[in-house]
Amino acid sequence: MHQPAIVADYLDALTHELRFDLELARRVRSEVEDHLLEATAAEGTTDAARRAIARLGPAREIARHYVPSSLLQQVRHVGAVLIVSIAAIFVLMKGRGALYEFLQWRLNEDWPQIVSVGPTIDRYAFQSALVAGIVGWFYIASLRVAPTLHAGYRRQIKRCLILPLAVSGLLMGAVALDVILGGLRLIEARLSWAALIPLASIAVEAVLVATIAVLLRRTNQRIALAASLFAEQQTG
Amino acid sequence: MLKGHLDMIVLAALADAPAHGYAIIQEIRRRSGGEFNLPEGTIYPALHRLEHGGLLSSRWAAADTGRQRRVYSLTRSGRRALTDQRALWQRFADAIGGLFGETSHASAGHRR
Repeated sequence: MHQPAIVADYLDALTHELRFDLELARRVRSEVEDHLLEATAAEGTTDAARRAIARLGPAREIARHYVPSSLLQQVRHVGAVLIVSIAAIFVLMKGRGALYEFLQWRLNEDWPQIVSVGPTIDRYAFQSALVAGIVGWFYIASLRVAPTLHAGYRRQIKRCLILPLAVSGLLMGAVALDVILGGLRLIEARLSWAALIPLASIAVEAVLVATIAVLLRRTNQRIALAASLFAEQQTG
Repeated sequence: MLKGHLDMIVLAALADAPAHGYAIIQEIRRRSGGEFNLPEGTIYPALHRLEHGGLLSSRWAAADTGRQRRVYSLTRSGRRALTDQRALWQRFADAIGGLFGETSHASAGHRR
């Protein structure tokens, strides 16, 4: 069915305003397109399309209504990835520790300071990340979607990102120490095929931490894009 | 006033059968006798919000024309929320009715 240009323009504007959440933008575009086709089915004229668009309201206004649920969905996603990553890193660390014990791979004694404090810092960094991750998860899970992006809700969303940020920092520290400590053990044990197991597990940890960092960056970008929809309201 | 009750209105419109966005808007208009002429653009974000709140579920379904459209239906939680809202609204309406009844009674007495 031929679509009036005014409809295509409106759908493009809506997709543009919803660019803070591309998946949502695709879904809403499809739904609104279906709505406009239904609304103009009887007449099919540009005037009918214009009236239907007027009843829907400005594209930016519609996009603003989607912001609270989209942001909450994103921070919940971050929370879920965070918890899964912490659990995976915990399993990998424990597994590596058991392997070192089994193969009798000790830390190289040439760096006594690292040998004495390294494992303790590593353990505390991970335990702190675990606690912050669990607190963050409960906080994120306790949030309910607000009908509008009011100041209180905006603060809650920002708070949701602070804890994951702290967790990713602590996990980065723990993984960096794992690399150093693992390296020291491998020097002592000499390189062998068995060394690939701890190396691979440290690589997986690094990928998990990098994923969290990328996700946090994307969430920050999404918040900034979504906030730009309200910029003129705040300045006006 | 309608803005604060949008979620309840949308849930009520879906009480009988699943429907897509445009049909929900039509149903609200029909059942309210044309009184609730909501800005149509607010319905879709409300549907999205209710779905994320677990009160609605949705799926893509093919329309008669072959187009894919999003169809929404009440979940068990949504049905429960609607029942609660209905009871709350009934109590509120009864209280206001009583208040207006008392007021008109009192003012009628005053006039006498």
